[in-house]
Amino acid sequence: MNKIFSKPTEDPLWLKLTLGIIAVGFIAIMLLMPLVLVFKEALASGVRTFFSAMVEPDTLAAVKLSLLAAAIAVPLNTVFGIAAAWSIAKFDFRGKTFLVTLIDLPFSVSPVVAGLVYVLVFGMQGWLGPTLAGYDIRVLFALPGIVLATIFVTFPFVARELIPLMVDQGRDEEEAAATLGASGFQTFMRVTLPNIKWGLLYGILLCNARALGEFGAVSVLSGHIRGQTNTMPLHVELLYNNYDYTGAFAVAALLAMLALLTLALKSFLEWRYADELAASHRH
Amino acid sequence: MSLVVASVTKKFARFPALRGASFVAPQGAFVSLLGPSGSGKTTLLRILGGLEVADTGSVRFADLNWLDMPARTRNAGFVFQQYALFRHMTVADNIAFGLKVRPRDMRPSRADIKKRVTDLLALVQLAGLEDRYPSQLSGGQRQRVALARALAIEPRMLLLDEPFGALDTKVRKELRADLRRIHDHAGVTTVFVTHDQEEAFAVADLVAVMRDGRIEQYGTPQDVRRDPKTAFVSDFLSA
Amino acid sequence: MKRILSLLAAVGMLAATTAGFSANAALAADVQLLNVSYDPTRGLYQEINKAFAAQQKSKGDNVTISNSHGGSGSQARSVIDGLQADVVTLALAADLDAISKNGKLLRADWQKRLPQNSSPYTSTIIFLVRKGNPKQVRDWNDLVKPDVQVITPNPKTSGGARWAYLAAWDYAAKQPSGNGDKAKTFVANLYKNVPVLDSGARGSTVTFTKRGIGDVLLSWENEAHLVLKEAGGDQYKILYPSRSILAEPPVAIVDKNVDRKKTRATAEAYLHFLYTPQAQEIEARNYYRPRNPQILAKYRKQFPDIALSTINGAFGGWAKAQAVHFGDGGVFDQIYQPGR
Repeated sequence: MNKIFSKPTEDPLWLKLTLGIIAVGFIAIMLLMPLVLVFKEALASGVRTFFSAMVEPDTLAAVKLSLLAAAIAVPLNTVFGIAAAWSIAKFDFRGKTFLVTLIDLPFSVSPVVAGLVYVLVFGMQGWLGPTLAGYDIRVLFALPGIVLATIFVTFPFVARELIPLMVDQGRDEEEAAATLGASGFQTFMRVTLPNIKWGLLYGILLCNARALGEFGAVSVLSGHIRGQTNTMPLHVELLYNNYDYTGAFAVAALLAMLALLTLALKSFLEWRYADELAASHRH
Repeated sequence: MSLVVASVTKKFARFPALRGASFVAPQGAFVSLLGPSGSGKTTLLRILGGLEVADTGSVRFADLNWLDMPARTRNAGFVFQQYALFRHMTVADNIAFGLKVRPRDMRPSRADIKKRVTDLLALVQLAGLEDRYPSQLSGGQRQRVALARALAIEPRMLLLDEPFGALDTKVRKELRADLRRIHDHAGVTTVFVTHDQEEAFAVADLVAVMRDGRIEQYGTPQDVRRDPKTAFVSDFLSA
Repeated sequence: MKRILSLLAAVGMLAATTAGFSANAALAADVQLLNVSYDPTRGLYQEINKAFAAQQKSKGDNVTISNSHGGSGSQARSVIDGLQADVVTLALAADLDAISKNGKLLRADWQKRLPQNSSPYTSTIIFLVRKGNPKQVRDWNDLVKPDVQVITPNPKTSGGARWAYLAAWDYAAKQPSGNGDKAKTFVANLYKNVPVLDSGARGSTVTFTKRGIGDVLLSWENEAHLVLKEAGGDQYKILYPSRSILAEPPVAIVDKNVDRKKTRATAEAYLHFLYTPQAQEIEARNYYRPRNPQILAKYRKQFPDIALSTINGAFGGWAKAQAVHFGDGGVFDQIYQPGR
């Protein structure tokens, strides 16, 4: 066995192989296989059926709604995430730990519970529902409710990506910028933002993927109105519940494609800017 | 236009970092704050730089109520122990930063900025390294860039926080000499924090020996060495 | 001057014609209805809505109907929480009672306001077996044979499963010298033959069709047809037992909402439409038993005669059945021990 060691700190070959096989095997079974099966089922009745399922008006409406909800939720959560990470990393203030815990709340709460909380607040049997209904403001079973639920469940992604990054990077550069005469805004744009751009990008991509895929929270308060308040995941459920397996898998494949597109985009950007990435990591 | 520091105190949570520090230095002096860790020297320096807020006390410099001014208006160049260079910018951009963020009416032209950068690089003996990134430089080179960057804004005060702490002895000695040379050339009031008494004595006009948040003794290197006022000071100097 | 006059004239004419158009349009109404329904009715209401819209258009009204689908119970919940349904077309009378009681959106006597307990169409529980029917299942009593495996969802979580349970109970109770105790034993033995208790009808269908488990699936009549159409074709066969239970999915207008939205007239017309021969034909084509006897006769092949008990007649009403059989500690809890 000792002959296999080339350096004192290098793992033995058998260990490397075993761990490698376990890792690859796990990924293959848990991630790759379901993905492959989704596409297989979707195309089981032929490409034409697949496409006709895609262009069905209800499906298109669901795609539009999902994209719209993400288009609102992701920028809002990005701004929030940057603001939270900035204050946590650069400042000391009372209640800082509380804020960090609060940010993690959506991760520990089941999405269904989140949806129910909104029902409790905005439903006609809840706190604000009747009052808002008086002004003809409908939050639940309409776009605002769906956006709220999406914002809640994707809340932490950008923040959690940025906080350790910014804490790790410390305040030195920002302090230097201040002593050199930069205003807060200038410091943020010229010093902070360029330093976090990769973490920010990754956080935004994760946030976006989650926003598109959210099911539980949105399901509770969407109202499931065909062609109006069904997002893509809800539409998959609708088709599945009507024994339209091919249709369900077709829309699921579309969701999967969007996710893969997101990953491809990330990989492309990492490849294109590899040098910059490397430079910003070395310190 | 002397620098008058009067009874500055600062507490971090319960910990009293500074318990009343006072000294006076004439314009253009090179002052060293010397002491072991925890003595409050870095805290005092950061207060002078505007990076910390003093609890009580006052500082007057250039006829200004120094502590009332935010960091970015003080025009006090700060050199950090870990360099704090902007990692995603080239050496040239780092040095030019202080000039580029000036309001439009006070900003030099592009050509002027370029010239300043070239001059400063020559001054710190790094000519030709404009387009390098900090990660591609050695420790000593990075600190030279940090110095150039601080000098680019034509500061009225230069503050250095153990700037050579992370470097090896030979480089330290070189940089120390360069720093003194630059100081003499520019005539800028300089405050320099270190725990290394050899370094302090070699480079400063005035030395403040600090301990537990107070200045135990303040004077020229010769005076302090000849006549230590307390046991701590004589112990510290002989160590 | 002349040019200005002619310009004014042109504008005036344009205004007059558009006024004319809008005057006509003011006579026709633009109405939007929301029909909150349960899961399997998607195909049904797609057709119904199109037909109703066409009918209203010929009267000069522009009607758009949106449809929502989900589990009957959770749909009722949503309506109570503010989903702006003009009409509800759910699976269980109990769900509409909940909307009436908890949401105060319906009148308590809603069921009497439309013919036949407010159910324009009905359904029942039947068997779905594999091609060739290898285990020779013919009737309920075959389900308790030792080598037969039955697939049905969990009555605690699935509305359809409760109907299946009650149909089985009713069969046993109605056998010669049948009574409550014999029925209880029968149902207990039936559930001993259930290898997998899914939480809902969809899960059970997947277990039976995709996973290939079980010899017979207890299913809604309309859903069994849907399965054949969408998922299985000739691999399965629908089998009618000697008797089953009558399910009457009810429809109603949501008074509070239609009064606020001023859509009462159209909503009432919509529900009445469900009883017309045209709609009854659409319902039959979508595998729901129409009330109209002529249309039912026309689709005799698809809807064979079967003796049907009602929940009121056999069990004293849904509330009583729910409490006795499916509540905590009820009969189902007593007879079913998972894992045996």
